[in-house]
Amino acid sequence: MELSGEDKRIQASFHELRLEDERFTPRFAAMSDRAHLSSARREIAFDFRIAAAVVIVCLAVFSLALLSRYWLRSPQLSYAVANGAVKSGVNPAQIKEDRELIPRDERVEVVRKARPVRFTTHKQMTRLAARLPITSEAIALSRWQSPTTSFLRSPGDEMLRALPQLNQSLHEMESFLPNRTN
Amino acid sequence: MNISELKAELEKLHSSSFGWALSCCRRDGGEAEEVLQTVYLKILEGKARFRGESSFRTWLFAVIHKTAAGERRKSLLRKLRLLGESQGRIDRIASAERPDAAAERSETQTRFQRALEQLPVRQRQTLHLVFYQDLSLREAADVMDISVGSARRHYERGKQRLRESLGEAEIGYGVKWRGQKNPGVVS
Repeated sequence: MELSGEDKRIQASFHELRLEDERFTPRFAAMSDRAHLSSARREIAFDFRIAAAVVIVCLAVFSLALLSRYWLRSPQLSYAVANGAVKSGVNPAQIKEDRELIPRDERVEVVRKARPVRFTTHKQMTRLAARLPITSEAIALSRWQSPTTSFLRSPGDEMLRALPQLNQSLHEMESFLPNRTN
Repeated sequence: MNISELKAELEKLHSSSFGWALSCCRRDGGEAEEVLQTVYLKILEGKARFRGESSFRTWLFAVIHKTAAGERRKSLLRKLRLLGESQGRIDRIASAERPDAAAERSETQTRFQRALEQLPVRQRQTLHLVFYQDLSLREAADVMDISVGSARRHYERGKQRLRESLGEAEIGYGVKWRGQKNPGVVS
């Protein structure tokens, strides 16, 4: 590029600037070493971040496992869930009392023995939840009584259901027989 | 190009690279060192690869230019996040110039650097690449990732503005100097 007089003056100024910069330029070896050092430091920081993340994940998994074990070993709560207590909003303690009223065969015993800790709690609970309506319906059906049952009752029900004793007197037996005079 | 060849090339161009990094970092020595360090790391770790599409020097200067722009963006974000700290950083940048260099510098050179600082970034960088680094306008355009036409426009306008500000400074200096020597002449 051809330079005019003015351009030459600018170039001379730039040349002077260059000389000034060269005096304060850091050595290449020092800069290269520093670059490697900062790279190593960055790698260490990165490793530390990964280690911290792994520790946090491990803690979370461990606490989840502990919680699930505690939850599975609590028979009262499991029983309450299985029998619809949680869904219906009834106090689990109340359900424990009601448990005695339910016939033994109809009870749903969820926890019969301590299970090993497994990570299928959610699946199990989903299965239990699916059984909830069926169980509660079965209990309701077994307890059902017709509203007109009371009309069929009479004071002599006991006599009708019982067989006469062999040593019972004839007079007593006649009282049950229709009057012949009629 | 293997690592040892790369290192040899970088060492050969180290002084020019530092000058270009200084220009990209508004003559802040600390920032320029940081940028150059990052560039070396990028190249030696293989994150920036020379494919031989241009000369090594043009490619290296382009990497420095991009890295400096990235660093500037990061520092702007930092400033936005911590406004209080940014004030301190601005003060640091303003006083980043070496005092011994400033003391030894000639009056003409001081005026020249002041005039250069007043130029827009693109114009200042084009002039730097052409006059300081002895690159052609095409190479300067490649480094700055702009068209040759734009580079030429920045070059012409930059020269014009530099001449004007230098002329104004000289006139101002002369009047002041004469005023001090003979106060009666200037009221």
